[in-house]
Amino acid sequence: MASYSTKAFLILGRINISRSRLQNATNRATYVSVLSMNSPTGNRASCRYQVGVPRTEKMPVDQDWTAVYPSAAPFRPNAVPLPVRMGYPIKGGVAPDKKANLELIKIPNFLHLTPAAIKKHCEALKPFCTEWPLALDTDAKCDEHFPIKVQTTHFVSAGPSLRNPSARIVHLKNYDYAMYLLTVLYHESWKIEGWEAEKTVADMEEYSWENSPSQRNLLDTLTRMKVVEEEGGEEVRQQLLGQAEVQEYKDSVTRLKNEGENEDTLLQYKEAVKKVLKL
Amino acid sequence: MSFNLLQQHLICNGGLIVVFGVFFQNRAARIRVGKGDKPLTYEQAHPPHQIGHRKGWLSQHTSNLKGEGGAAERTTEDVFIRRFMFGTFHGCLANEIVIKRRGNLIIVCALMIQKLPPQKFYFLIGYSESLLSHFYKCPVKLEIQTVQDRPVYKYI
Repeated sequence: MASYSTKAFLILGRINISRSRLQNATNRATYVSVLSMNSPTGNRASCRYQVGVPRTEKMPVDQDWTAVYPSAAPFRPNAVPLPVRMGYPIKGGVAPDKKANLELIKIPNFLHLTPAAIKKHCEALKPFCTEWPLALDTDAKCDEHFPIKVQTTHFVSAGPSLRNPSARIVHLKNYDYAMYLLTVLYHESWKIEGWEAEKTVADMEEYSWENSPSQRNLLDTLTRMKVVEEEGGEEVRQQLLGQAEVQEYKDSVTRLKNEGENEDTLLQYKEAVKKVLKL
Repeated sequence: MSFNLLQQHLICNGGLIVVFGVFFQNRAARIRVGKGDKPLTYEQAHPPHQIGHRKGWLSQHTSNLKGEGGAAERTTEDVFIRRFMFGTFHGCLANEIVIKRRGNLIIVCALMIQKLPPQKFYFLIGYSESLLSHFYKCPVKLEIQTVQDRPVYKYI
């Protein structure tokens, strides 16, 4: 949209920009025109229309707040009797007050969810609820008896179309189908097929240290270290396996193989090796 | 072509102009410092990089969250609603318009100067609400607050 002449001005480092052009640019950016010096302040100063007393002056201290804000509504400075201020303070001053404060209108407020209002909501919902079972008093018990968790989104998609599936809460039909699928999979997983007996070490999902090359190597090294002191056979190996350092080494190797390499696992492996080899 | 223009301007202005360093300053939504007589609202006084720090958002909806769609449509609706309000309540707007969406519902919050008699305001509010509702096929609510004059944050 900028003409060639404006581009030339830009290249020259913004000299000779006329004041009117700048104001036009601002007007296009916002829909509120910048007040100029020439505005007739006389008209604005005199109030031509009868403005009533704000509601805050007429509010008794023990009023029913749920009647003032029965549902979610933007902030109304004449309906909220609190002296709130919001915004970045000007230099040598304070934050702007609540009258005509756009920042207070922008933010979501919870004035409709005071404790009194929530109590009223609970009272209204009580006829539709049953008692919480007393045996389920810890999270662990809840997990144990109800291990399946259903995930729901906590916001409803905001758009003009009601046809958008995420604009509605999940239907019970889908939940039932999910439950049915889970039940089928659970029962299928318990069935043991004939070819499962042919599982080899390479098929294992998790690494287990017993009868692994790592165990054999460690025991060989340790027996060779001890061979100077005494002779032995199978009993020595069993005795070595019982030692705490060997158990630690076993844990660290298992963790390294299963979880992968990161700071924690490598540190643990290093400590275990130092202890086992008595370094 | 632009080089020729540059030369022309150099000749016009008489001396040689040496331009150092940065050519382009950011001019987006910034009102430049003047003599000290220009009143600014809080919105106008803060440039866009203060959004999220000293300024809030004028429009709120869930389309910009992960996995949600329709962000472009909501933005177009917002732009239209702002132009519509500026035109319908001409000269009465004290500040920018705040648009909130709650599910299906669009809530348009505006701050107005007491320029028109209340009856005209009521008519315009009803007219805007019904027109926008029919246009967008969803309930549109207007929350209008009136003030005597524009809230001035500082003078530039």
